[in-house]
Amino acid sequence: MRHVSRLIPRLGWIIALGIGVILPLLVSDFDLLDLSRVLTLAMAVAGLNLLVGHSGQVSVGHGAIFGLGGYAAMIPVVSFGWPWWAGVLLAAVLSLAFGILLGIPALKMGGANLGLLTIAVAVVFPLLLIRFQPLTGGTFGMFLPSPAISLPDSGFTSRQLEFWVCLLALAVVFVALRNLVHGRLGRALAAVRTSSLLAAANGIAVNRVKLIAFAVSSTVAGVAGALYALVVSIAVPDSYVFTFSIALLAASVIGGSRSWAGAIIGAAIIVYLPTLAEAFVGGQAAGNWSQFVYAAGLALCLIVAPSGIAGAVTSLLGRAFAYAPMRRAVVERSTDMRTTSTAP
Amino acid sequence: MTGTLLRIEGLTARYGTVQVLHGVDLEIGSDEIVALLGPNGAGKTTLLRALSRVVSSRGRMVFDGTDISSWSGARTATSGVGHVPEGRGTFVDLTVDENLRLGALARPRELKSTAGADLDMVYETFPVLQDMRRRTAGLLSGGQQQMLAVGRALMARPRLLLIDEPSLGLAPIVTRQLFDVLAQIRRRWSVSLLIAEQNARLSLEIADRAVVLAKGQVAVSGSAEELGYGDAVRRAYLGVANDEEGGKGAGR
Amino acid sequence: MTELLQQTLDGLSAGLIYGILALALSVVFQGTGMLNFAQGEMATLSAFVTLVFLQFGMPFWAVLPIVIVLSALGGALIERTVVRPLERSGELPLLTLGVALLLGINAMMAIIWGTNSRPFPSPFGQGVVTSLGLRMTYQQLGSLITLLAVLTVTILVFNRTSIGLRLRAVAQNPDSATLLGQHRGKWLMIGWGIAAAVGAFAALVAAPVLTLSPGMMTFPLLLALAAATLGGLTSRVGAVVGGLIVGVSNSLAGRYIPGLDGDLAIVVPFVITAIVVVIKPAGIFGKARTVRV
Repeated sequence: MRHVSRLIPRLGWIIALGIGVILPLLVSDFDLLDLSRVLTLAMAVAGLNLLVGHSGQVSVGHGAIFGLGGYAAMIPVVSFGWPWWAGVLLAAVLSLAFGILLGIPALKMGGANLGLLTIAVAVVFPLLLIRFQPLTGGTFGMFLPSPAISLPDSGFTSRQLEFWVCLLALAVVFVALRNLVHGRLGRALAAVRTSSLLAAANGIAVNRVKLIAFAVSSTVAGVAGALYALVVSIAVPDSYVFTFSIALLAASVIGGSRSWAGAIIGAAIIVYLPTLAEAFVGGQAAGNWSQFVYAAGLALCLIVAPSGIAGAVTSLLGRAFAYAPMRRAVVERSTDMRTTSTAP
Repeated sequence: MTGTLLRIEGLTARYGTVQVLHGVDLEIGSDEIVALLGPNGAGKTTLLRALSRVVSSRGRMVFDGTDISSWSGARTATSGVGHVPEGRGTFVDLTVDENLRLGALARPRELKSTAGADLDMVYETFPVLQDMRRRTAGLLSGGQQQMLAVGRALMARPRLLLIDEPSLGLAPIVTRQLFDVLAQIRRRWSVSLLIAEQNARLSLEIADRAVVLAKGQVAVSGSAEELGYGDAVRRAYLGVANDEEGGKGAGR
Repeated sequence: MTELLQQTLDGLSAGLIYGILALALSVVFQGTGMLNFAQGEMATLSAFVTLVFLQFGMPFWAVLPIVIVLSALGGALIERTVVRPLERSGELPLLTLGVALLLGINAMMAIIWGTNSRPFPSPFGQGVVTSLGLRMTYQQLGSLITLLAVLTVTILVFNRTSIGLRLRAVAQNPDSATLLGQHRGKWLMIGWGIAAAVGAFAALVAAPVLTLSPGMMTFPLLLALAAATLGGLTSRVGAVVGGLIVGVSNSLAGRYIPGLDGDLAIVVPFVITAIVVVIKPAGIFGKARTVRV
């Protein structure tokens, strides 16, 4: 029984990966661009999931870190002719450093202050981009004249290659985060999320554990941002405004902040919701309407489905199939966002 | 006893899946002091909280001729049932005076005008509070906070005052003083008292009657004299100490 | 010297706006334990509603009481409908709800009124007062007086009336307050209403200067968040003092620190806040709460 219930999700992931690998051969380049965007955004949302879903912290500034990664990759690639992977590496290093720099004071401050500090970062970041025009290109940003990821003689288009790169990166991130969450750090995080006081009493270095979670989350967001910018070939301050940070957070909660599949759902919503809204209300108002839908979805999820779409689907499936053990459903429910403290 | 003030029949209450009260029957007369005894986890606090309607329960609860079992906590509080909660429920950032005025807000409408006189009476009953009236309540000692809690509840002019573990965390001498005052307030404030207390000896001294709760049921009840000399009380305590399943998590 | 004083004066009058908004944040936080990121957007919505009334030709001072009452009702409605279900679910969901409200109200305003800035008439008229070499526009002076009045009334309501006593009691010890006949939900709702009404003033005095757009209060709110954190979220006085510190430091930094002119001056109040909070986590006037496990 238990084996089957473990095997099914794993099988699902393998099938999904298989589909992902052959997808670029079936889909138009135009659609591939959006799909690659979904993959990179899913990476960032997964990083946010580690924070929100697993360590009980909240960041309203991941959009800025995503942007930091984007610029960290674009600037050397565009201005200094670096290869794309070196840009991504630089993005990883910078966003890791940034995560640590931001995390240390935030954790010292404690409480809701991480939210406060990240919200400030989210607001200030686009202003800084405009201010440092010589480096960042100011309001007009950085523009990649030709695709960075290409193999001229391979017969594959850049869009196909980009998709595979993003897919690989996402798979690596998922596996790494999953192992992290199931390992020692994950258990420590679970303890901290349940009650940081009790965790501290049990010898867990609460602030260190939280800092690691924040730094990892930040690094993942930075790498994701780097790939995103390289894929869309442009980085402008307008892409990384405050509301984008909120959209990422919304995606994490709506998708399901404790589910890796939820990260993909959330990312897909970010990419396709504006397109969908445009089909209904047309051009100008589309952005506003999709923002409204995010907000409504976010509030609705918080109240009705705290474990997000993925969580809701899992528990529905669990109820539909006898094999899904009851235990799972109980754990799922008791570890969602609502549990912040439990009495011993 | 001049008449029945409160009568409860078959009261049951549960927290989630844990049933804490299993059909409690209890009567309290006007101007009567009843000691509610029992070990930790017997359901004393739950019984008091059910009476204040802040814990949902089943069973009949008739207070002063009215069935209150479907009332809200707020309504019960403003209709003559005062409650001094376990841990005193002090509003630590408010001054002593504000704590007491807060109590007065729960007075029945027709008694609003006499709040000032009652405030003086509280200060008369607990002179130490008078000296500290402008002080922030959080700065008071445990005993002073307990007095404040009783005074605050009295300001609502209750007919029935429920007091939960008044001796908790207090030095024996302070507890003694407190109970001496509790014995007096029934006459001065014409109020009945139901005191949930682990200190059986002290409670029996001031009570007319005692009810011993064990595993969520009334184990023994009788006059304070009877219970004071018999070993029924002791037996009820020991009986539960051997077998804990009835009361886990029932402390609050 | 005069310029320094002038900058300080400007900072103080802006700081009062942050302080008022921070006061609203503090009222909500003490009651519901929620950092209401949407307080600014709620205030902006009040300003938009005011503009609608003004366009019907009603005089400002007749519109004002209507809008304040509507704002209070709106705040109470938000508490009752979306905050109440999450009331006991902890800090993180509440924080996220604040974000959702911010996003939602912002989008709603953009859908209805568009994202372009609109002029908002000053109820105090055009003109400048000059004294001792310092100058203040009528608008600044009027705002100052209005906000001081709002501040005084709010503080009096909280400290001198039974409404305030109940609000404070429910915020501080809801269980004990219930036992004294205070209906927790009702008073939390009223708290939200008061916060929304107080916050509305901040937007109404800011709108003539900033011009009205859905994102108008994003920056002020951010500074108000810093102010409330700096002064202490659990203290109403702290919120206001925090607002003034934030306003002055923001104004001075923008003028005297090279490279921090314009929007970027916001960095300085945040650095100050961070430093203060690292030293005293509950803020200058805040009280540390003991945590019960």
